[in-house]
Amino acid sequence: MPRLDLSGYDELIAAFDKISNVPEDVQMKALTAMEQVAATEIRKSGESYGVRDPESSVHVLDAIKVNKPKKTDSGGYADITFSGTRSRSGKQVRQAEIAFINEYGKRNQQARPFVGEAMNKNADAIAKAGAEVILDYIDKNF
Amino acid sequence: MSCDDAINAAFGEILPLYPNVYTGKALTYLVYNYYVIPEVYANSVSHASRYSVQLHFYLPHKENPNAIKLAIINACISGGFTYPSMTNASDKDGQHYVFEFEYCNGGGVYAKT
Repeated sequence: MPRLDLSGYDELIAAFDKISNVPEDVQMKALTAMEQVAATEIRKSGESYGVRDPESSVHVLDAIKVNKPKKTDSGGYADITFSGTRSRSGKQVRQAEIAFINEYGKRNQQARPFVGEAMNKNADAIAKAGAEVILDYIDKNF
Repeated sequence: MSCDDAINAAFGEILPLYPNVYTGKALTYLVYNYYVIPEVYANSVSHASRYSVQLHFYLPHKENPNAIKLAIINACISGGFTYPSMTNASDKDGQHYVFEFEYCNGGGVYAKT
């Protein structure tokens, strides 16, 4: 009668348990690494779309802010925001509003989806930055 | 079918449809734009293209947008696009709804760098 032996199963499950318990500080470090790559790519994408207004002293692309990651019950998340305001035609306008109008356009103004394109085209690179932090932790600890 | 042909076939009957930007006097119309992501590499050459499309629906504040919104969603489904997400980008000049979805076809032309 054929017989199938399986060995190492307990060790495999134990390894998965350890990986699933990556410490919080490592998780946050991974999110920060992903944020940094995403923010860089958003800035580059904005430059190629011509989002930068050379006549403004406070450019929307210089207002990209990488915020500290936050922990949640299911893991964590990190926000990249367009921070602050700038003066435009004599009134204060939020940088986030300028970024939104660039992303989606308006009547008589073509959309320049620089955030969506940066995130879409660089999804692998962003994930890789986080994976490197996690894999580095695993290499050093298991 | 090219992405432009697919967009025109799916949405051209709903309302006047323009690529990139419309600078005329009409108040109710559609505008589309997209960027392309090369996919399915073989021998460092892409053999398929993924199009990330924005379809903009503009109309005056006083009008009810619901029938056209539904027609756009149905046209996405029947036209071979992914199911759309929608962002309300209305401002003081009128209503503006942005539908985002994807389209894919073969024959990518991009060499991987």
